[in-house]
Amino acid sequence: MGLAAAVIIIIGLVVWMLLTMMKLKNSGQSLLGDAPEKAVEAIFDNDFREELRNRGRLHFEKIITDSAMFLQQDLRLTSSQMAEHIKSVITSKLQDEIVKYVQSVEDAKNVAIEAIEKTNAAIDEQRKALSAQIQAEVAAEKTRAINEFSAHMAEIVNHYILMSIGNQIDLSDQLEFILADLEKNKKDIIEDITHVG
Amino acid sequence: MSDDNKTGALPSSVISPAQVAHLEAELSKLNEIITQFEIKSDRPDVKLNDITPELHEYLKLNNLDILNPDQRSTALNHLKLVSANAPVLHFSFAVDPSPDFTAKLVTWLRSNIHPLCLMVIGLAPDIGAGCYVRTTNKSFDLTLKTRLDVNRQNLINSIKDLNKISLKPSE
Repeated sequence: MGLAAAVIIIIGLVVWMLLTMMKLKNSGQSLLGDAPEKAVEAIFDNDFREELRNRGRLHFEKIITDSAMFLQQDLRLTSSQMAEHIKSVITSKLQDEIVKYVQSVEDAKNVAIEAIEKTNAAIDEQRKALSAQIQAEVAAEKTRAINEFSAHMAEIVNHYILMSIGNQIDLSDQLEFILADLEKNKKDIIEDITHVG
Repeated sequence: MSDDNKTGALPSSVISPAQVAHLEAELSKLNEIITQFEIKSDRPDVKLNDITPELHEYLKLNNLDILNPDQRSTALNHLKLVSANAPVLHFSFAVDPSPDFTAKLVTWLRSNIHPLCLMVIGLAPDIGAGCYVRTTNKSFDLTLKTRLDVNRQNLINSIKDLNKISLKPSE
């Protein structure tokens, strides 16, 4: 910008000088002859031109340096802003994912708890049913055993007596018992043997 | 002793048909021996201690003289009639009865059932106590098991009474 302005100024100055010289030429050519041209030559000599070049070069370098500095600052600012932006985006993303993860873990935990509770309930139901069944079977077995004992009590007691005293039973002690039973059945015995006789 | 088998008696030591048959055989053999002696006009040398205790007891019970041929004949006929017609009762006991026991039992039978009752005794170890009695057409279960069966309700009532006593709160 600065350079362009300087160039424009210089070009404008040169054009003005040319126009002035032309005017002077047109108006006083006849008066001055080639004196203006020599004056221009005297002003715009090589040193002047070199000076102008140096100044332009310096100005150009200054402009380049300033532009480079501004560019560097702009780049630093931009990179800093980008870093901040990326950081914020990543942080936000991470937070979202963490929240989702926590939520999914919570959901999984709830599902597991629910499943365990259902399993416990089912096990409890089965335990109650099994307990009732076992109690019923035990009661039935008890009843069956009692009925069996009741039905075969005489045999059981008889067997018990046999096992306890076996052949130590003395028939002499039973004579009275046997004679009493024979007395009860006396009529039937006599009837049978007399009928055959 | 007459031909009526009701008036001839059997000793209590003779209880089974086998013993009656043995008596009959012994008496028959003795009869032959004595008859041979008589044919030879010799006095038979038969002493009472030569005969079995059962035959001795039988002769004594019935007042028979073995040397008298008529009485021998009567006795033989009597024993034959007993073998053929005497009622036989089959008894099954858990153990072998003693001779004293069988003597008492047969005495009761001959006093209450028939004077010439005979017994056949068998073993049935599973009886425990009591006996089985079998006549020609009937059997009589006189075992302990049957008595327990008959009195089962009494046992159940006793157990129930005992249960009521044990369930009552102690005062």
